[in-house]
Amino acid sequence: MATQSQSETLAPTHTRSLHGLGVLCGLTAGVWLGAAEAPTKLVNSGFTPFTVSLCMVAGVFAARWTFPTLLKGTTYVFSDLSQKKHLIVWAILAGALWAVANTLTIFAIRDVGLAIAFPMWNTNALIGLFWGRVLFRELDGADRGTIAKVIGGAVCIVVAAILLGFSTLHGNSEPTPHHAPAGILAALGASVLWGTMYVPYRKAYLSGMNPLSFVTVFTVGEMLTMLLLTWTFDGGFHASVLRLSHGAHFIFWLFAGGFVWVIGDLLQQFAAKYLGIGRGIPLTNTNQLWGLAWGALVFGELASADIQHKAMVLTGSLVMTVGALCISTAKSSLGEHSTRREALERECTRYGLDYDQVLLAQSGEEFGGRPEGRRWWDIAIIAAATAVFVYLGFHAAVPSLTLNLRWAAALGGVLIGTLVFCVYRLHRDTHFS
Amino acid sequence: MQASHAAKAILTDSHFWIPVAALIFGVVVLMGLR
Repeated sequence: MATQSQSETLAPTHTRSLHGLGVLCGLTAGVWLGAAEAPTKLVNSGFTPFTVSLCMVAGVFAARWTFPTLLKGTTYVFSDLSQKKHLIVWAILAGALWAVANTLTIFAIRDVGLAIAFPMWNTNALIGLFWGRVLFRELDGADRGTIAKVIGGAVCIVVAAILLGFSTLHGNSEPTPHHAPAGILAALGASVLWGTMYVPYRKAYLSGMNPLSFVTVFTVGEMLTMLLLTWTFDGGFHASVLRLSHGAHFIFWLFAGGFVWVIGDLLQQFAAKYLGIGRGIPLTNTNQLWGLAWGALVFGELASADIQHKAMVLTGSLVMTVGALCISTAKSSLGEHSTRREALERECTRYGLDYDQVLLAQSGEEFGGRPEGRRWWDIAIIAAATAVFVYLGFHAAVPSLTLNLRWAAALGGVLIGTLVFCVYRLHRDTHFS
Repeated sequence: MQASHAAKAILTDSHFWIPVAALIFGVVVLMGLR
């Protein structure tokens, strides 16, 4: 009883402030996830998609161990993990789902082309919304207006992302769909896997896990699965990844893409924690808008676009903004807090967690005086990751592409500005919990 | 929570089998696409 009264006392103020923080994290995640493709546009290496993907994941791996170490220290991360050991399994499972889904998209593009595959796998946010509703009772107890805003906003963002995706396709560059059923199955599979990947996300954050701890393990599952897939599908000992020394000057850009993606992904995790997957994931899908901005303004990808494509960009941008506004203003009500508490109680009962501690952690409060001190190996991890990036940077080749440096500087400024503000708010409001 | 209890809690959690089923589905599709 004491537990419940504490939750009722905490809920209104914390959820109000956390909604705003969650929206900020979701939108900033969109900015960073959208920019992650920019460095990879500089790569024309001739390597297979598996190798390109594996290099990005390797960059992700390096960055994902660096940020949690930098912000909290490994002592904190392992302390968090040791209190919720069962979530290690969930995090590895989520990483494996991501890697398989990512590989499926490669086959989908090969077999049916981006124009058909992209809209299919982009519906993953709606699948996430479905699982959030069915498994975790998200939106249960919400008024009709809030439900309409969240579902309508999510649909708007998905439709807009598809429109923006189409706007980048020109001419008759799409492959002829020789293996249409297989390609469609791959695209739908990617959507199902990515949408279902949010189940472990929600599971972890409902149990109060820190997103920094979750991604540390998630990336192990992701890296191991990617290695296995590259080995299996890219020719074993003959895999092109083993001949990377011939293209070492490209690897930096792939690592850089992975690095930028990690920041976006971390913020996506915080958005999923504070808002739930129904609200958090669609908001981060605004990344399509920022990806298009980099492509069009910096790389001039829409320079030869006709009026139809430009109309798609304008319509897609407007619809996406409306969708983001709908979700941003759909605050959870007391009724939703009550059902969320029931979902939380289920986790506590099943996994033997302390309800009070989980509630505090879930609300972004630090608990248990967990150590945050840095050890010598923390410094070694950060130094090693930095050394890898510096080494690759020294060996990187600057491609002879025409870039609009003014727009690159402007969008880079938006990247840094949004991140600084978001990090400040995370530090001030929850201390990255 | 002991490892055996944690394992039992995970394996009897109906939520767990949804991502596992999705992963198996994904791997089967991948195998078919090779």
